[in-house]
Amino acid sequence: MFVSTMVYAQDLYMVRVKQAFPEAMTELQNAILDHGYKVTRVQRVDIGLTKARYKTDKYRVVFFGKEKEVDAIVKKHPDLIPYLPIKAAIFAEGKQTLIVIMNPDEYGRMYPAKDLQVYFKRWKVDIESILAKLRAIN
Amino acid sequence: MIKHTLQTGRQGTPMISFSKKGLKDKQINDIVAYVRSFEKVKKDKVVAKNEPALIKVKSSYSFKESVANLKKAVKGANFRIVRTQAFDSGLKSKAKESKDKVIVYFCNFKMLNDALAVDPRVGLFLPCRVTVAKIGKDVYFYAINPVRLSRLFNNSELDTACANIKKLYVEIMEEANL
Repeated sequence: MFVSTMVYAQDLYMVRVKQAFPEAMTELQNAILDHGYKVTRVQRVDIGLTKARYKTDKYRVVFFGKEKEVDAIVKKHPDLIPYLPIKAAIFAEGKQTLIVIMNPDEYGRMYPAKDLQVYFKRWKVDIESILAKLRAIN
Repeated sequence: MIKHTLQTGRQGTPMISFSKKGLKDKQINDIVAYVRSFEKVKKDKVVAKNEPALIKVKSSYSFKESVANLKKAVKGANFRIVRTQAFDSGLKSKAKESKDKVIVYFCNFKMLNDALAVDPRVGLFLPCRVTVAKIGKDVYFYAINPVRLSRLFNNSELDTACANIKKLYVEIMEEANL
């Protein structure tokens, strides 16, 4: 069974799934690809984590984006550079897996330029859809 | 969320279930109220919201020199460089990758582990990253502003860590620009 809970209406989206880390990671990447994004990198962030009394060595950050979109944004709004590409953190907690992504509304608050809001709204729709897809899988 | 965590604990972490320890619902509610009193939410959130989204420093050097200076400054601050890559690496073919926008990822394992132990969600903004970008004729150092982002986690324990990381970013960029 793949059961999950999602916290919406927050600055961070967080989904807890009952799938083990490797399966949840695969599902996350597939859902990202299905929404037309490229996974640009999967970064380990767990070296030595177990030494900090945290019983997981399964922690990754998944970077994803769309080439044309990123190019267009950076050309006109280079100040968005440090926030691109989009990131999702995925980590094991016991036998479950948690996925955390920043709510794109926060980008809108940080970067109020009108032409950017189209991107942020699209990211929000896509990210909610990606997370909904993860919730729905059994 | 706080109540659920208190009731069930968090698997794989030192956080135990308080329900299993015999606390009643009302007692757990009291703890939730107490924990929430730590937040000082309104004041802190307003302060963080007024913080700029990013840390940006104009470099006095060429793009190539700026990247080299940055790496030197990162090492000088006792961080280890994890990776240096084109800003758009993975988005396009190697041949088409940007030549004038480079990301330097770095970390200090103790700092990383301490932050993750406080709140594992913070890994979303790790490891540390500074981007060097040539915009027009000018070269800039860019980083996220951890203080601005700290409000997202609603975890007062992270505030100090985020303020320290912001200070480090600024120091590293200034050092790279000497």
